[in-house]
This record gives sequence, C-alpha cells and structure tokens, in this order.
Amino acid sequence: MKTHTLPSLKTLIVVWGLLMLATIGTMFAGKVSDVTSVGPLWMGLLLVVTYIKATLILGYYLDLKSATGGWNKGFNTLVAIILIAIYGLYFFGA
Amino acid sequence: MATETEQDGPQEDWGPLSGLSGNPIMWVLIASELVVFGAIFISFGFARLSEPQVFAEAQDHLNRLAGAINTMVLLTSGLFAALAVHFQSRDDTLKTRLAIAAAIALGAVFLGVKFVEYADKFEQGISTETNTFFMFYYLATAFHAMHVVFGMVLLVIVGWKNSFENVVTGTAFWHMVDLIWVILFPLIYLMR
Repeated sequence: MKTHTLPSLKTLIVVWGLLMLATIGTMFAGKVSDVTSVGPLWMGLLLVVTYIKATLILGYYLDLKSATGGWNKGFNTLVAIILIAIYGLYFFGA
Repeated sequence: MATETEQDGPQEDWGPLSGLSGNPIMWVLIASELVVFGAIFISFGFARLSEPQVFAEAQDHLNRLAGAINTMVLLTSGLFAALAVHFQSRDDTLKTRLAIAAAIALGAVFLGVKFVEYADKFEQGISTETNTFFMFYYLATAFHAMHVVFGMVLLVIVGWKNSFENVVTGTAFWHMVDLIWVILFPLIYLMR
C-alpha cells in the first residue's frame, strides 16, 4: 500500500498567499487598467507568472509533489507546452 | 515547504496511476480536460493571428478587473478545497464539510460575477455571432462555467459521502477547474 504525504495547513495557506501575490503580478504584467498592447516582454512575464501559479496548484493543491512516477513533471510539462504555444502564437502575431 | 500528514493511498493496483492521490480515473479526466482546454486555447491563438485588430478591439469590451477578481475567488475556493482534504485526513468531518461549503459558496460567487459579465455583454448586443473573439470567449468561459457547476455538485456529493478518497477525488476536480481558469484568464482577458 502506498502512502501520500499531504501538505501541512501552514503550507496550504502559504501557497494560497503566493497564488494571490502571483495574481496581483498577473494583473500588473497584463496591465488590467490599460487598453494598450501588453507587448512581447510583458506577455512573456505574464505567462511565466501563470506557469508558476499552475505549478503551485499542481504541486500543492493537487498534491502532485508527493506523487511517484514523474506525474508532477509530466503535468507541469503539459502546462508549459500549452503556454509556450500560446506565447509563440502571440509573438508571431505581435 | 513543510509536509505533515500521511495518508494511505489507493489499495487497488492501478499501475503507474497508483502514485497519484485520490481515484486514478479522476486523473485520466483531469489530463483529458487539460488537453481539451489546451486545444481551445491554442485554437484561440491561431484565430487571433488572422484577425489581430478584431481581437484587440473586442477584448476591450471585457471587464478585466472582474476576471482578476474571479481568479482570486476561485483560487481562494481552491484553498478551502485543499483544507477539506487536510481536515478529512484528521477525520474532522465538521471542519471538512465547512471547508467544502466555503469552496462551494465561492464557486457560486464566481458564477455570479460571470453572470453579471454575460448580462453586460448581452445588453451591449454582444453574442457568439458578433465576431471570432466573442465566439471563443463564450465557448471557453461557458464551457469552464459548466465545469464549475459540475464541480460544485461533485463537492456536495463528497461533502455528504466524505470518505478520504472521495474528498481527495472531488477536490482534485475542483483544483483542475482552478487550473484551467488560471490559464484562461490571461489568455482571453489580458493577451493583447
């Protein structure tokens, strides 16, 4: 029988705090209150922050950090592929 | 970061899927959903390439602040879902159910904000047929909202039948809904 180590209460709250900060970072990089184009540099930063948020959700909320067999890397890679494709399409259209 | 509580994993042998928490079938669903939404997001990127001006003008009609607030609402509901697993691992049924109730309530807030956004668009005469951007906007956000509704139903069920595996499995779906929105928000609301 396998055992899974769950994140502690403190860890879950710290992760939530980081996600909130990252969301504020996303609003800043995405120029929420502005109508001008974000631009390739800020768009890249925006997607990096998005990737960090996704890895936090996958690793701690979905508890993939304690999963065996490379599942954490696998799901992170899938998200990275989606975000890189989005950025590539944005970059060529910019 | 620190970890604390240990729990028994699934007793059946699911091969490589046994290394995941909760019911392995949920992980098949989560991976499938990520691929489906990923395909929608990449299609959006391709469509934007052919009509950049239309997409830029249409996106200015969106309420970006509402989208950001909804991101925070959904991430906070995700915290409560994760707390439900934490409490259930300690057999604290009352706290588990309270955490699940809070996650559901925040899911309802998310849908309320979404409803206000849709009502505003309809008042402006904006529908799926307005242009390609809004076709994708409604497709992606409404499909996601349907997942929120399904996730809320699932949370009610696992709050009622609250074995550890049920709670882990139900909340895993909810975190997947969070994850999709975390990618959808910058793509649809902010990329310009």
